[in-house]
Parts: sequence; structure tokens; C-alpha cells
Amino acid sequence: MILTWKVAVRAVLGPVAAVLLVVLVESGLLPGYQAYSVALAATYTILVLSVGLLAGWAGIWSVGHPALFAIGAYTVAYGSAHGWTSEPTVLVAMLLAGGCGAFLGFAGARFSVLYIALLTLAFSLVALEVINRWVDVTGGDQGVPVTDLPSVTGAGSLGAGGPEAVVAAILTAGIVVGIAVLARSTSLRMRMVAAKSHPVVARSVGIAPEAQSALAFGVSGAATGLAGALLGLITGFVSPETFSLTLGINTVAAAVLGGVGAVGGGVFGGIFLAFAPSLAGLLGVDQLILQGALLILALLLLPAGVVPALGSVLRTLLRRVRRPGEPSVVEPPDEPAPAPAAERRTLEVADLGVAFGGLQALEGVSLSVPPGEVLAIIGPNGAGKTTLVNALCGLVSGGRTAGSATFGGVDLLRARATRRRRLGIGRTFQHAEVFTELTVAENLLCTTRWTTPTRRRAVDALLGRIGLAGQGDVQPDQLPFGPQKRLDLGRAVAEQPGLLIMDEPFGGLDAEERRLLAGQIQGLRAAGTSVVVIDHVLEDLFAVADRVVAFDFGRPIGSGAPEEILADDRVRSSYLGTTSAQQPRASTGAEGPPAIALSGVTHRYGGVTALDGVDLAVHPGVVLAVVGANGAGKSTLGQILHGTLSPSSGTRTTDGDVRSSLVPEGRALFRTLSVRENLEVAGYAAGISGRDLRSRIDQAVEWLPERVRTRLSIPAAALSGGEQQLLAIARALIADPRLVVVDEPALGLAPALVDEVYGRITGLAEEGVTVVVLEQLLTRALAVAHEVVVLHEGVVRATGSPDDPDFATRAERAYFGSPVSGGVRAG
Amino acid sequence: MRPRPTSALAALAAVLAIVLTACGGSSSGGGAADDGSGPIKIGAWIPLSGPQAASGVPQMEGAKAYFSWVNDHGGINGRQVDWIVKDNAYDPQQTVQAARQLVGQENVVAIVNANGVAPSEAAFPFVLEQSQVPIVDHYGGVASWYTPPRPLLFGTQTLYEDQAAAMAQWAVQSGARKLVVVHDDPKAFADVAAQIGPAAEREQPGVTTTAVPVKLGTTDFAPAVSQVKAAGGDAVMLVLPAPEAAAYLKAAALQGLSVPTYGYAPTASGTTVTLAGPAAEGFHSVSLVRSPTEQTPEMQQFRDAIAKYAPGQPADFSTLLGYANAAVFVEIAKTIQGPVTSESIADAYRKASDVKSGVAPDMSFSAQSHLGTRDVQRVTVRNGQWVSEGDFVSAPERG
Amino acid sequence: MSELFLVVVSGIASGAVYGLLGLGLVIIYRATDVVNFALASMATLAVYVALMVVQRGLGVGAAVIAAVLVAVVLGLVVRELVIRPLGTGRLFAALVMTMGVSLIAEAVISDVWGTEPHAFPPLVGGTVTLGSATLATQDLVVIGVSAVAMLAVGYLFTRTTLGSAMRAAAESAATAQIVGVPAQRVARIAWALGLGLAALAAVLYVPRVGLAPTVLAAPLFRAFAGIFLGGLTSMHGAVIGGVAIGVLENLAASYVSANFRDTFVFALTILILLLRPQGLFGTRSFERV
Repeated sequence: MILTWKVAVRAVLGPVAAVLLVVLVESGLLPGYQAYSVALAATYTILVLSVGLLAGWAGIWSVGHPALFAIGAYTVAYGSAHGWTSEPTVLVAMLLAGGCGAFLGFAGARFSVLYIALLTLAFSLVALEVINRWVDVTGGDQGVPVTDLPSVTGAGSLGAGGPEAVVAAILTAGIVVGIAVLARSTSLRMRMVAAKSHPVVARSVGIAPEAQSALAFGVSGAATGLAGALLGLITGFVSPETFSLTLGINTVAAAVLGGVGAVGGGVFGGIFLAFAPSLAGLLGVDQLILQGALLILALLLLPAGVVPALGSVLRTLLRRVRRPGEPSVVEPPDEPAPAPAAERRTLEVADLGVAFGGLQALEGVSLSVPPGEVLAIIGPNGAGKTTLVNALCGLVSGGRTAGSATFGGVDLLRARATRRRRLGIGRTFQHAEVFTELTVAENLLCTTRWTTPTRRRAVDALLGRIGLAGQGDVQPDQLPFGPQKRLDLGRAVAEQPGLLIMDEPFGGLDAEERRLLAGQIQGLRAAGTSVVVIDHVLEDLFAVADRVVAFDFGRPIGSGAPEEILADDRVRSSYLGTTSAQQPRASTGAEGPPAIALSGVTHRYGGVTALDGVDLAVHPGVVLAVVGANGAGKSTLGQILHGTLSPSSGTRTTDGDVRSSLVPEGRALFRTLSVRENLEVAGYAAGISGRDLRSRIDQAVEWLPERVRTRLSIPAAALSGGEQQLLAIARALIADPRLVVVDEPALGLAPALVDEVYGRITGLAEEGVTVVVLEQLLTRALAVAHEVVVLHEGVVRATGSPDDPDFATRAERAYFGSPVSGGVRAG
Repeated sequence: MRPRPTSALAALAAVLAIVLTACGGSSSGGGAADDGSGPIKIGAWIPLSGPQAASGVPQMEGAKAYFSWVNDHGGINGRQVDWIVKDNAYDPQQTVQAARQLVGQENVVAIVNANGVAPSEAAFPFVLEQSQVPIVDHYGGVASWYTPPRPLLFGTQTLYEDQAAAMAQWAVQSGARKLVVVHDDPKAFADVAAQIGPAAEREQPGVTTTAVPVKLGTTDFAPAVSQVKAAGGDAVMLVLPAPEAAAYLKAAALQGLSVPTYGYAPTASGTTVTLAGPAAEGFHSVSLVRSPTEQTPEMQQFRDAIAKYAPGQPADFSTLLGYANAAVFVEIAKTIQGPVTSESIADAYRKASDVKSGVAPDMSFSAQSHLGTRDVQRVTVRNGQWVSEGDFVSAPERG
Repeated sequence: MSELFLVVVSGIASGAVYGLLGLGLVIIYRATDVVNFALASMATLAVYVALMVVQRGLGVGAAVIAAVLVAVVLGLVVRELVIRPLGTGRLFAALVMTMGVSLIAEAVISDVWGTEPHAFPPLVGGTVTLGSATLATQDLVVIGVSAVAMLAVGYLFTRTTLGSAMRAAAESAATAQIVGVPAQRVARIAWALGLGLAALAAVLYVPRVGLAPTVLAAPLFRAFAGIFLGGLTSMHGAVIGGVAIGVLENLAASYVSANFRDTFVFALTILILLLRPQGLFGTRSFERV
């Protein structure tokens, strides 16, 4: 957890250093001619901090800061010419520059990062033209002097390049650095970082990225205005050369050099900007060469910037000196019940529909979730579950919605995504979308605007409840997947929501973690929170659900208690598949050595085990189907068979040189390229060209259906789903492979098209190509393959041939991972 | 990227490293009481990097060539000249830093042949007032610098405003009655251009003047030439930097515009001829110095000095301007009896009259006038060479 | 009327140069996610080498070829030495890196060839008279050569296998990797192509203004404005945007206000971006950053 005294110590470092510098300057220990340079460095420090922290925290890269800097400088020039006192003048400078900054941040929020950079560039150029023309105030290109500004207190005056201004600049920079250090540990920064690194998730915890960007740019602008005022005071003269684009570019470079987002980096950058010319003169090299070489070397050797890199070197050294403390092993907690939900409200969905273009993703959905109920939503891929969640969370941009969805009477379809947090709606994400640039504790702290001691204690308590006690300072990406998901959950329930929406909460968790999670969901229910859960792992879902609604093809197909639903034929067949006609069976593949054999293959992504001890032999000329629910590890297995992914352990052996092609899930076509160009790219990748390529393309084209064959020049995006799938397979054939791995070819296709696609895939086997199909539906796999392998949670649970009459039952049990009552009545 | 005490330490270490290196130069303290033997230390800030380096580098090389020549020929009354140049990149802040180093660290007795209008002005309070060090022979400047005269500021270049009046006078004397002024839009150019109308009117009542402003940095002068054509003048006055003047001349030649064209001193440059080529033929300009191609002993010495001490540089206006400024300083410094200090230099300038360099106009200063000259040399491009027309002429009095 | 004609044609000639530079920027950006700030100064360096070729009396044609070759080699060296080690997905680190390269290139130019401007001969001298307007033949050559270069690039990208692969890699680097497109080779080709186009733009531009170390700085900013206007991801957008900026700034300077030329041009650009945040021809789904 962030210790306040530590922050306080760090925060006073800046001001203390400033006071020391002032003593050095005043006592004459520092040569007098350096006083101005030190003050300039102090001024530039504020400028570079403004730019660097804006980039690091809010993700806004500005080359427009010279204009804000100019606003500050010309304001003091104007003030000094009109007899203003110093304090109000500086305040006006900050307000003007801050206002412009806030406007830029607000206007730029809708642009991507490079476009914001352009916006700031334009602002800078326009400001220069105004400065040149507004001669009465700015003196045009001949500049304008800054005379003394008396203090409002009557105690002395600032300006005209005097020593008081030097002292003021140094002290101010020290204070600004101190404030920046303090700001680091506030929600202010955390919310900016959250909005920057993951806008969608940020919205779900009530952070509006536009507001953050306006706020961040506003504060940064005000600080830059302050710096500009100081510049005018220490120099005693303001002219436009200072505020050229070159300064904007140099500032960004200095910020990157020092380390973007690090306060120390800003200090380093400011000093670099002020002293680089003298340094170049001292070393006798050209200013440009020195700057350029430093930038290149620093980024090559210290990619994170000088200060963060030196910091980590120092930390490593210190760690070696100190006895390394053992990282405490986290004990998953027993479950103290969370505080009861604030209000008891009901989610009402009536006749909800969502359409994207011509595609009706969701249709006629009506359901009601009373307080304290756990509703599970199941259905195969593409059934519309995610669309439903997105509709409830206000994230269906580009889709047309119909019907209504209300929570406690508030219309969810009209409310902005960021309002849901205040309405008491929390959400978790399938892949535990934590803010990786924040620490674990900060991930929870950022959900409120102010970081109070009470809030910190509450977060500490919450960390304990989600089993992350003592891990507050850890970066979330250093945690295994399970704890990351707990963090995601903790963030969603930090303020006791009335409704919690969970997207595949059990996915990727081990048995113990799943048991814990089920307990946590039950705890929430007990506290009166309504929970909507979406998942594939049915047995866990059924352990917590009060009620289950099954979806297929965008509409509910059944609803009831878990055991009723599981017995429902339509629901079972939506998972296991129905195939109206048996595909023509290809001749049995050749016996002999397998084309590819896997032995003891295990693969992990980070902390998640995707495959565990898989042994598999693929015989030449057969159609092998690998079947499993979502997340069973099929795609990983496919990539390992293809050879593009090396398993964490285990071996892949091939029978000689096996050329293999992969047709990835979702087709992975180049949508803007034409049909022919998609084929050409594969040829280019395989190193085939000229006549050879043309004849291969002609062969592949022959294989495509008539409608595509005659439209080779239309973009792939214009093809239907089935045509796209066939094109993806045809593209894989360009390389003339002996093995083709096809990942979920039926995904998103209408049934008739599925039959056609499978017909062509099995046709490949008849031509002697070995085919591995990764398939979600067991029935379909049984219908088309010579051999079927059932994967469940990364483990091969069953292997066999569809010809074996017992195999279907065995496979079904294996598919669900546990014995279920009743048999499969497919087709 | 998280704050840790070690990050702060790292920052501190890095900062110290830079500051120590930057401060690590000689830090001789105390005012230099001139003992009359060692070298005379003078300094300048000149843009040696960035876009302004195009004029800054040759200016420096020219002056350096003259000082080297003087040092090899006995120096100033037997004393060597140590001229220290700092790059100011035409930036006010760097100029102030350079000024503080020159005065505070190097203890120069005068700033000679520095370059930069607004950047230099930023350094005036420190140099002229706080440190009481004179700034002499400045390259470029504005009228307000010399009216009223500032105690320690002395100029050797005819003001831009006077150049404008001189070129207007020349055009009107040559028979022009409708002048078109093509000028860049910033104040430094607009103020100069604004002097042309009144000066022409004074020379010959009834002369009309039309202004065609263009954006600083314009490369495409086709639109401006169209406007000039439409204005239908009988002489065109250019208040543009040399590359833009060349671009204008080319565009004008292209469109068959053949009215006499005059430029102010910055256009009297090798750059104009190099870039405009044949289009520069017949172009008139008023120059601050004699044409570098003249066959006088002084000019021959200039060409020899450049060839010897600045071999990579052209012996043209760009180097001659720095050379001339250096020459004027040396001529005046020679008159100093006794220690060469900031006060004695200022004193010598105040008393200097008829200072002859042979390349620049003769200079005369007084307590009231700190600008040594108001003369210009009329030059014209003939056969790709700048050729002087007559001797120096004084700019007409302005209102 | 003839003034307007002149202003427009002259603007197109400048705009063609911005378009070529912008095209180079976009090709490199789409293929490698690097906003190449050093494009202009590397091309300028190449033109200085070309100037030496001219001074040897080898003719302008040879000089153009030399400029393109030098720029391509320079680009490949820079990419392999400083950009590639950075790794992928480091947009701003790469941008700052190219700034560093740009500073060094500028300094090298000043040290080797001096800071004073040099004249660079046009490909063709002479004038063409159309009605009452007289145009430099060179301006028409600039437009013509740019058009040919742009068409050639268009042909490469839409009609060849390599072009398909480059567009594929630009559309989705991840998918291209799955399909097995050699990413490094595509990146090298993109850098070579981008630098070649920039060098061509430079040799077309410098005869008009003279050759100086920072001569391409202003056109580079115009090219940036052009590609933002046209859409960062669209190649024809870069060309059209560049030409539009060239014409607009001429019109603004002649008919609106010389002083507020940039204000006018950028205000218009921003206005269009507010209406179409992805640029005129950009695609929205293409969120790279």
C-alpha cells in the first residue's frame, strides 16, 4: 500500500533541492553567470514536466506547449507594462494558458494520439502568427520588455531579469516538482492513466476519457503558463523566437530523454534543455549533433528514458545490498461478506434488439433480474451474449438498438457508458482488463475522484477480501491470471454495485480459483447484488446461478433453473450441434508413421495453462477434428501443430518436411484487399512468384465457388461469411501444403454454408491433404472427421473414431468435463 | 514508471552530472583589471546553428579572418585580440546565457560583432546596464536602439529604415514615380517597408507607393508577382531576405516583368546572385559595404585574408560584413591609450571620428550619435557580379 | 483570371511536392508504424550529394538518380541501425529517434557543405505560356514527374504481388504475420520507397528555392498537414491532401491574408478533422494508435 510518509518525503525533495540551490546561488558558491542558466533550467523543468506528464499520464503528446508558454510570458510583459502587481498577473497567465489547454484537451479527446499532436501543432503555428501580428501587446518580432512587477503584498518586486526572479523561478520549480510528486499518488493521475490505457474499461468504472483529457491538458497548460511567466520574469524580455516549433520538438525530445511520465524525468529534461547548448560549447561539438546523438543513444540504451533506467539500475544495486525480502505468499481469503448493496433495484430488459448494418446480432430479448438474483446467460459463440453485455454497458457504438433496458427505472440504452458506475452497475471482463500501468491498489483507488485515508483503508480491506492483501504495490501484469481476474472483480465491486455484469468470469481459472469465485458471487448475492454472468464453463455457472437463460442466433431459446435448462434439447443441441446430413466420408487415411506427432505438449500464456500434457498423432490423409468448448485450448493446439507456436514444454516431431498452412479463427483475411490480392499475399509469403504463382492462383480459384470465382477483384470484406471462409482456406492452399489446420471454420456461418464449407474441407482430404479441424460442436466433428480428439481445459479427455458406436457418449462426457445425465440426441 | 526514492536519487545523480559538466569550465572570478599586456578579450553571440546560421557562420568567419590578420600583423598596439564566439541559435534565452558566460566567466571587455535583433535585446539589460560592458559593431539593429543613444551601445551599420529611404531615393532619382514594395509581413520588415513611401514622397512629391505583403518564408512568388503586375508600378522595392528576393526575381523574370527592382542591404548578397542566376541581372541594391569585387588594396586584403584564414568561405558580402565590423573595432581600439577596459572602449567610440576601414563607410561617433554611419553603397548585378555604382551616399533624412 | 490560374497551378506544383513527401511518410508509417521525422533532412542530404554530381558535370538526370539512391541507402541504414532495435509499437520513441537522426543529418550538411544556400539546376529550363499566364516549364515538369511517380506507386501497390503484400501488412501486421508475410523485408522496402519518393520531392523542390540545410522543413510540415487532411492511412489521401494544402496556402496568401496563411490552412484542416476525425480518405476502423 502506498505509505503517506514516503510520498511526503519524496514530495519535499523538490522544494528542499530548490532551497539548497537558492542558497548556492545567493551565497555566490555557484558562479553568478550560472544563476540565469539555473533559473532557466528551473523554468524549463516546469515546461518539460507539463509535457512529459501529460504524455505519460494522459497519453496526449503536445508540440503546442510553446504557445501556452508564450501566453504566460506575454501576460507578464503586458502586466508589467500596465502596472499590474505580480501575483494576479501570474494567476491570469495560468488561467489563460490553462483555459487554452483545457480547450485543446477537450477538442482533441475525439482524435487519436497523432491527430491530437497535429491539433497542438496547428495551435502553435496559429499562436506564432498571432504573436507576430498583435504588435500592440507582443511587439511583433522585435519583442517586448518585461519591467518590474511589484508584489501585491508591497514586499519587493519581481522581474526585469533581476535576482529576485531567479530565486522565484527556482523555488516555484521546486514546489511544482513537489506537487507533481504528490499528484502521482492521487486519483487524479490514476484516472488519467486509466482513461489513457484502456478507455472502454475506464468508462465502465465511471471515468470519462474526454473529461480526463481536458483536465489533464488544462492543468498542464496552467503549469506551462506559470513557466512562461517565470521565463518572462527571469529574462526581462519576450520575443517570438523562443516559442518556435523547434522548442516544441525539443521539449518532447527532452521529455522522452528524461523519461515520460516520471517526475525525475521532467527535471532531467528541463536541465538538459537549459544546459545542452553550454554543454555542446564545452565539448566543442555542434549543438545539433550533441542533441541528436544523445537522443539516439539514450533511446537505444535506456529505452524508458534516462531517469527511469537509472532508477531501476539503482534499485537493482540496492536490492543486492539489502537482504532480499521474500515475497509474501498470498493466502486466498475466507470470505467475509461485503457490505450490502446500497439500493435494491431491478434490471428490466424488454424486447431488446441490436443490429449492426444488416446483421441482427440480438433480437427480442426480454428478461428481468430482481435484486439478489444470479442470472446466468449461456450459448455458443456468436449467440449474442457479448452483444447483450455491451448493450447493457452502453458500448454498442455503431449498432442500432430497439426495445428497452432499464435499471432501477433508468434507461440504460440512452445513458452514457460512464454513468453506469453511478447507477450502481459494475462489470468484469473476460480477459481481466486491468490497468497495467497502475499498481494493484491504484486499480482500485482510481474508481473514485479523491484519494482519502478512508478510501485507502477501504481499498486495503477490499484487497484482503479479494486475496491480494500486501500486493497493493505490485504491477498487475506481474500477477498470474487468476489474481488479475480477482482484481478485475474487486474493481467492479469496490463501491458495492446493485448490479454486477460478469463476462466469462470462470474462464482461465483453475479449480480452486473457480471455487473461490463461486463463493464470492454467492457473497454478493447475499448482500443483495444482482449478478448477470456469461460463461461457457457450464458446471461452474450452474453452481452459482439461480436462473439460466440460453441464447442462440441472437435470441433466447430457453430459460429456467440450471438443471431444467441443461436437459433442454434445444439448448444441448445449440452447444453440441445439429447436422442435418452426414458429410460424404472420405476414404480412411493411410496407416504408417504420423505426419505430425505431439508428445507431452504443455503451453502456458503468462500464468494461464492453455494446454497440459497433450499427446497427439496426426496421420497423413485423414481429417482429424479437435473438439472442445471455448477456451479448451483448441487454437493453441492448432498453432502448435502448424509450427508457428513453440510449446512451453513437450515435443513436436514431423515425418520429414511437412509443409503446413493455418486457416486462423475469424478467417484473418485482408478485408481491404481483393480476392485475388489475398491469394497473392499468400504467394508472396511462400516465396512463389511469376508463372508459378499464377498457376497456383488459378488452381485455388478453381476450388472456390462460382460466385467468388467470377468476382476476383472485389474486396474480401464484400464476400459473405461462407465465401470468406472458403477464400481463407484457398489462400492456405496456395503454399501447396500437406497439412492444413482449419480453426473453427463454421464460426458465424449459416447452417447451409457450414455444410458447403465442410464439404470442401473433407474434399481436401480426398485429394491427399491432411486436415486438422478445430471445432466447437461435437456432433459436427463426429460427422466429418475420421478421428476426433476432445479437449477439455487443455487436456485431451477422449480420442476415438466416430465409427466407434460408444464414442459419441464418451466424447460428450469429456466435452462437458463431467458426467451429465441423458445422452446426446443429435440430429 | 512508478515513483520510488531511487528514481529521485537517479534524477538527482543525473542532474548533478549535467550541472557539473556544464559548470566545469574555467570559473575565473573577479573583474579583470587590465594589466596592458595579455590579449584583449572580447566576445560575441552569433547564430551558428539553425536557419539563421546561413548568415551567422560567414559573418563569424569574416570577422575571425580580420582578427587573425590583425594578430599576425602586430595586433592592437602590440596586443593580441581574443574574440570568443558563442552560438546563440538565434534564441533569446541562449543569448542571455551566452552573454552571462562571456561577461561573467570569460570577462570580456566588450561584445563585438554580435548578431540577433530581438535575441540581443534580451541580453541588453544584463550586459549594458548590470555589467556596464559595451556592445559595439552589432550586426543588425533597429532605430530605437540608437534614439536616444544608450551609453554603451555603438552601431556601425546603416539602419534598415535608412536603407529603405536610400533605395527609395535611388529609384525616384532614376525616374520611378509608382513604387511597388514587396515585403515580408513581420514587423521587422513592415516597419522598414513603411519608410519607403515617405522617403519617395520627400524626394519627389506625387510619387505613389503600393505595398504587397508576403508571408515570411514564402517560396512561391508567382502570386506576388501577379499582384505587382496588377499594381503596374515602374519600380519594385524588395524588403525580403536574400533567398526570398532571389525567388521573387526568378518569378518576375518568368512572367516577363521587367521593371527596375531595388533591394535593401540584406539582398546585397552572394546568395541572391547564386540562387536567382540570370534573373538577378540588373538588380539594384543598397549595400552596407563596398562591393567585395572592387579592386582596391583594402578589398584585396579582405580577399587575401579570407583565402588565408577562412579558406572554406566565399569572399563576398556575407563574410565582408563581419570583416568590416571587426576592422572598425580594431581601428577604434588602436586609439586607446593605456588599459583596454570596458570604459576606455566606450570612451574611444564616443570620440572616434573618420574611422577608415576602406571596406565600410567612414565612421564618426559622438556623445549624441552612437551610430557611426548613415551611408550606403549602391550596387547592381552586372554579368553575375555585384558592381558598385559611385561612392557611398548618405541616406536622406527621414521625418 | 490569369492570376487565379497562375496561383492555382503554382500551388499544385508546390502541393505535388508536399504530396510526394506525404506519400513517403504514409508508406513508411503504414508499413512500420514510424512517423519519420527525418525524411526531409535525409532527403536534403541526398540532394547535396546530387549537387556534387551536378558540379562534376554529369547532368541533372544523373543527379536525380544519385539523390534517390543515396536517400534509399541512407534510409535503410538508419532503419537497421536505430529504428529496428527499438522494436515495434513504440510510436513516440521512434518519432523522437527520427528527430535525433534529423538533427544529426542537418548538422552534417552544415559542416560539410556550409550553411549558405546553393543553387540547384531545374530538370528543364524555360517557360510555357498559356493564355496570358506564363509558367515555368519546371513547374509543369514537377507536376508531371510527381504524377508519374504517384501513378507508379499506385501501380506497385495495386497491381503487383509485392504491393498486395505491403498493403496486407499495412492493413494488419498481426494477420500478415499469421499468413507468413516477411515483416522485415516489407519494412525495408517501405523505407526504401519512402526515402526514394522524398528524395524525388526534394530534387523537384530545391531548384525553386535553393538548397539549404533546412530547406525541406517547411514542406515537411505542409506534408504532415496534407496527410492528416487526407487521412493518415490513405495513400491517395496523402497526395490529394498535399496538393490541397499547396493550392490552399497560395489562395490564402493571395486572397485572404499573407500573415494569417498558416492560420487559414490549419483552421480549415482542423475543421475538416472535426467533421471527419479519420481524415478525408482515412478509414475509421483502422485504429493503429
